[in-house]
Amino acid sequence: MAINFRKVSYSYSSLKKNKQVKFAISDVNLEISEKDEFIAIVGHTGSGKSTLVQLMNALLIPSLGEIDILGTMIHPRVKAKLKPIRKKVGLVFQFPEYQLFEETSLKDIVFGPKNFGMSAEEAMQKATEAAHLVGLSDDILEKSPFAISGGQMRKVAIAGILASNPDVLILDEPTVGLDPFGKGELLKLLKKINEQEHKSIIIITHDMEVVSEVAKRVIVLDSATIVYDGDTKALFKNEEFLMKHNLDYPELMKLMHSLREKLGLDIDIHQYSVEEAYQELYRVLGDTHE
Amino acid sequence: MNEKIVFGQYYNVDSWLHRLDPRTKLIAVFLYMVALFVIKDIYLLGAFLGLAIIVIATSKIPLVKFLNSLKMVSFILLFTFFFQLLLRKDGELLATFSFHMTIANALIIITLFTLFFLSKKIIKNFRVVLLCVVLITGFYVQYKFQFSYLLFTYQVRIFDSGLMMSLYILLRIITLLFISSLLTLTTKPTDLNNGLEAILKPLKYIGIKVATLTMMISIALRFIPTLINEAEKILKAQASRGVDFKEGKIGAKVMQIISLLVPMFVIAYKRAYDLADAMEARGFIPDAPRTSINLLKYRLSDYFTLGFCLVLLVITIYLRIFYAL
Amino acid sequence: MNIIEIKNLNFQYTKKDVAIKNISLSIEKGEFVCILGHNGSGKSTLAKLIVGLLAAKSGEISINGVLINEKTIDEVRHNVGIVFQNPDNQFVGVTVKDDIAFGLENRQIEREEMLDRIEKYAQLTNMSSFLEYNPENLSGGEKQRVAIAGVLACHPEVIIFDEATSMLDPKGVREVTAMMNQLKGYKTIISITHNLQEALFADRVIVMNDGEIVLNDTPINVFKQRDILIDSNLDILTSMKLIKRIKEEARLKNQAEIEDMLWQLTFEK
Repeated sequence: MAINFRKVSYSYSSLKKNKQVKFAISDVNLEISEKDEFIAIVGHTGSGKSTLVQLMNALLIPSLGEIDILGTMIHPRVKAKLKPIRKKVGLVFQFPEYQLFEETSLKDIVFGPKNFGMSAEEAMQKATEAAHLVGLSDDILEKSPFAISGGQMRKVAIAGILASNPDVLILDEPTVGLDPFGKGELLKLLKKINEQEHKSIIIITHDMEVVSEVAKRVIVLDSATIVYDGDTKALFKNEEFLMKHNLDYPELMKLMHSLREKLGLDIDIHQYSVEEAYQELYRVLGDTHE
Repeated sequence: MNEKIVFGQYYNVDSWLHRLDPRTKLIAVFLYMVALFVIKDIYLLGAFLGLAIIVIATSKIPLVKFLNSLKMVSFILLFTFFFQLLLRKDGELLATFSFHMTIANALIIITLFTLFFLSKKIIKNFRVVLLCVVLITGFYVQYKFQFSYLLFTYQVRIFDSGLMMSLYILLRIITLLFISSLLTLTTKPTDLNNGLEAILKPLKYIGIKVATLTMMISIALRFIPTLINEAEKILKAQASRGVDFKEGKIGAKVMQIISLLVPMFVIAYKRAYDLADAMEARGFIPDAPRTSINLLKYRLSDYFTLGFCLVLLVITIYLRIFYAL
Repeated sequence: MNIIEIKNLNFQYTKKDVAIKNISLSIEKGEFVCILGHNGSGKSTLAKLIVGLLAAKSGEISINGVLINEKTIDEVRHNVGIVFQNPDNQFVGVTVKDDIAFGLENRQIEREEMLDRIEKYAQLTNMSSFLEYNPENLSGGEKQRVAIAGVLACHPEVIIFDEATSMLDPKGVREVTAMMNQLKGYKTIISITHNLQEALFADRVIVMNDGEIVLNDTPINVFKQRDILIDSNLDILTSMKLIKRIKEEARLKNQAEIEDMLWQLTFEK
């Protein structure tokens, strides 16, 4: 297990005085593998999602408990160097285009690898690879990051993290602000990275379409604790749970659900693509036999 | 709730001082400060400090907050004190000290200072106090011990005029700091801004755009917490890209700072652009007449305070002219 | 009576890219119009032109019969309010109360009247208990509600929502969308977005692509035009995708009934 949380709690206020502190994350136990995982973290605003992922790359140190991140033990009095962790666990923040600052987009992508100790040649090579992976053409790379479109800026920012070749890639609300086309492109890219390079991907999202489309595993946070950690399909089968935690069905399932009610037929609403949905409808209502 | 950042130094309790009109406080502080500079007599100065402390006692703000303001300038205070003490050479000689710099003493002093600098990591608080201890020990050693080869001897003479002068300056600085702390601890920055605008309003007749200036200050106050939050986010994003502010040579440090400043500037610029659009769309026209939601009204306590401070100032001027106090 | 009349509007930011290409458009008083378009289609530029933040290269915009130009823009702005995308970058005041007051101060409304309006519109947007709050302690949705209160307090006839929900979390989106629905019928509303869900309850949907209007019709008719929507880099609603798939094979019993049902469900929110 690559990232292992053991009874981790985090509070933004110090724990020194014997006062009641509010925990952003409380008593979390979690195991994440460094290969092939595709996890969606969902939860209401303030439930602790951002805090949780910042603990994963040691930007925050737990107030209680310990985290084993790819072999390094992180606990409240940790002395170990944290920088290598951030290379192996890459974190892309929300609206990552705000972190760009270099003269050219390529130089900005190279910034991360150089900070993590790669030689200039290796850094340049990795940067170019990452840029092509996210779909940036060479002429964009030569431009200033402030002279390109918002969607391209986001790609530059993501490439900047990919170029350091992290084992685990975490993205905080990567699709917010993108139009439907941009969103589709990004999800395709993430799936590609997950399937071809076998990297584990963790995304924070509130978009249930995204969850149903790409996530294999879902972690649901509610008021600083994990209330669900398991298979995506199993989550969507639990109607009671979804209602209790104010979670939505993806659009397709909502439609199937309504069709089932209106037609009064036993349609299995748990379909994850239009094709699957059609096949299910055909199964129940197909007329080829005549 | 990050009220701490929003209100700067403002300490949120309810006292008569907090309830005073900001204009009153601004003018009163000004009058008091002028009086402090008019006074020549050290005992009168002491009385003014005493008065300030009495007012502080009624402010319901813990004394610690005021002492903190001294902490900032403690080094300068110390330096000024000794500088004045040793500078003046007239009046009655109070004491003479002979100091001997021997090789042994020199070595001891060097060791003490080295330890002081090295202890930076272990002892983080009360550095100034520690420095005082080091200095006092250093001088004591030079005073008492005369072992090994003598390099040179020097004498320090303290005169009563020197002592008086240092105390005089010290008292004045402390009173000034206490009074300005009273102002900032009992008044919200936005109220200060509104008060300042009201007081400076007549300046528009000589061409100074007071309303525009106060609008700028108001927007700055509004965005300070936002910018601080943003800086934190950018720091974290860059830390995720391997920026480590603790390590690195000069070259790397420059890049680290650029990686924080450039995004902040870019965001600030976009923010300013968007905000200007929003303000314009909402009908804002710079320098055009506007009404105000804020209403400042004087009450009895305001008249009393203003009157009192004015009287104080008049008395000090009178005492200075006629009695050289 | 057409409250907004746009004729042959042209605008470009630089010599190369033309942002708005010869657009003509009318909006009736009380209509709820949704302008859909991909990022860069010109929809936000159009919004800025209507409120006079940008000046057109050629063509004309009239609000309530008054042609917009340098001299009339101050007057015209009394009748059009706009809520922008970034909740922070339009919040001027140090507190909620100060921010709602901002527009009123600009219009030299008397203080007593200001207090009345602030109370009324803070209540309407459910922000009454937040009047002394600083923006730092508000969520995105709350900040947008303050912006809406500030706009409403100036009594405009037209309110433009320029991607007002795109930076909000689901709760914020619900809050702002609910407010927009509440205003439907009372004010003329122009909602600019690339989110198809928001277009569902509009009276009319206008689709923009590369600076031109490619569709201008009721939501139902617009959503039928799958090819044009795809061409305009907009997504098609899931229900539309399903209908298309069903039509392709044409092997379901009661196919027409199911297609109708899916149509109905689309607009049922």
